[in-house]
Amino acid sequence: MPSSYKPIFAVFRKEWLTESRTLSGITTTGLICFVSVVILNAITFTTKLNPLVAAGMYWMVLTFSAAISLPRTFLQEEEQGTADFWRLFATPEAVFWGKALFNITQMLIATVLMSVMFLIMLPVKLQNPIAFTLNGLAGAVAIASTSTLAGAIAAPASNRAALSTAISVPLLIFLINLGITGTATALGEGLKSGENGVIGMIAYAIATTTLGPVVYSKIWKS
Amino acid sequence: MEKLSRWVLMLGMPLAIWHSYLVGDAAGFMNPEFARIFFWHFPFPIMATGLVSAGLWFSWKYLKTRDQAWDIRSQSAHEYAMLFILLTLASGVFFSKVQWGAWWQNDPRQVSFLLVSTVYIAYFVLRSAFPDPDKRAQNAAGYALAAFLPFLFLTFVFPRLPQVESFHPSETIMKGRLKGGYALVTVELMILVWILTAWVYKLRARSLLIAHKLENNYGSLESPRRSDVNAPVVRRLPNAPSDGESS
Repeated sequence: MPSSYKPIFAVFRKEWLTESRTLSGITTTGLICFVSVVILNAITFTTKLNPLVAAGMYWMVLTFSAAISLPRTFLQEEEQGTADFWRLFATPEAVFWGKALFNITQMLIATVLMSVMFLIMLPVKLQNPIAFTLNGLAGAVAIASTSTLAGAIAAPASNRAALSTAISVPLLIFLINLGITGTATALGEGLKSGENGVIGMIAYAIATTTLGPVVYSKIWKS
Repeated sequence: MEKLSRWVLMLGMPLAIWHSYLVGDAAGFMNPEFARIFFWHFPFPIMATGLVSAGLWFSWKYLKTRDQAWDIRSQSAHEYAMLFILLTLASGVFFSKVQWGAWWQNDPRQVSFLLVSTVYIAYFVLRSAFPDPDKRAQNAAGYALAAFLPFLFLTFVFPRLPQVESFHPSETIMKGRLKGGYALVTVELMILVWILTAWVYKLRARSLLIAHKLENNYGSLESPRRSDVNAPVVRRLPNAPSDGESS
């Protein structure tokens, strides 16, 4: 492993060890996704679901579960008073990448579980599994890196938990739109050039993961 | 320069408004006389885009220099950007009612600008959450950088996606379909709104900079009377001797 990656994996490992003690982040995200799919199932069990509406529901659940649970990684550092420790011993890029990597892992697990439940429990038919998978995975990466950045921005505020959700959702709006286009196409909606939504989502994921460390390194010192 | 701008606005604005009523009604509209709202609706999103871009630049400058003046400029630019976003939505809603028959048409451009407004409402929510000016400036600047990507996508990419069908004609200006008096009034009002925006932005930024300097030199601008909890409350008894009187 190149030496520049070591601090990133050290931050990731710390997050993983903290999470493994309580599993609170993964269980919170998982529960929100599970309960939401159950509610959607209860609402729609007598009707046939339009692919566009189904895709909208899928991305709403993923976005809100991420906006609530993912910024935690930065918020808990401020609550426990350990944020200054990072400022003393680590570079902003390593801290951001380590935490973003952990959130991406968490979000990928949640997306896979949510997608499986969604396809089993809701009356939808998967027409293009590759587009569905690529779109979901790229969306999970983009959501995780955007929510991580929102958490980092909101962390020093006193109402940090509510604020991080309030600022991450507007930043994720366009992503929801791209996600709906790709997922609806994968579920059989005949959108003009709908496959481009998947390419757009991958591009957006790359853009957000690149932008995150740059912005974080600028707001690092306070 | 400022004096010249004021004269241009004072003389130009009434003339341009008068001119806008002199041009003939536009063809192909449900209510041709109301089509004139286009003269105002068109410059608003352009001004909003310009001000958001300026706000982004000022935020970047703040993060590089840590000079509060850049944050004040960024705040002013974002405030006026928000105003123009709201004016775009308001004029769009009115245009939608008189030309398409519904206040809210679910048109992709209407929706995308509404989404843009939520992005920048969050900017002001974030600012209000930090009482410390340095933390406020730093985190608001970070958010402004992060928000520019969704802003660009929502403004320029989303309405042009192939699957998105909009009521907004996108080729009227590019293909030179805006002609004669209509084109002239559009250009006139575009220039005048631009001058007006630059002037009011300068006034706002300057007033905030002065307030910032005064607060730095003399402390809080608010009177300490109401907030001074340590001031003693002395109630004189009716028969007590007044100051200076010996008992």
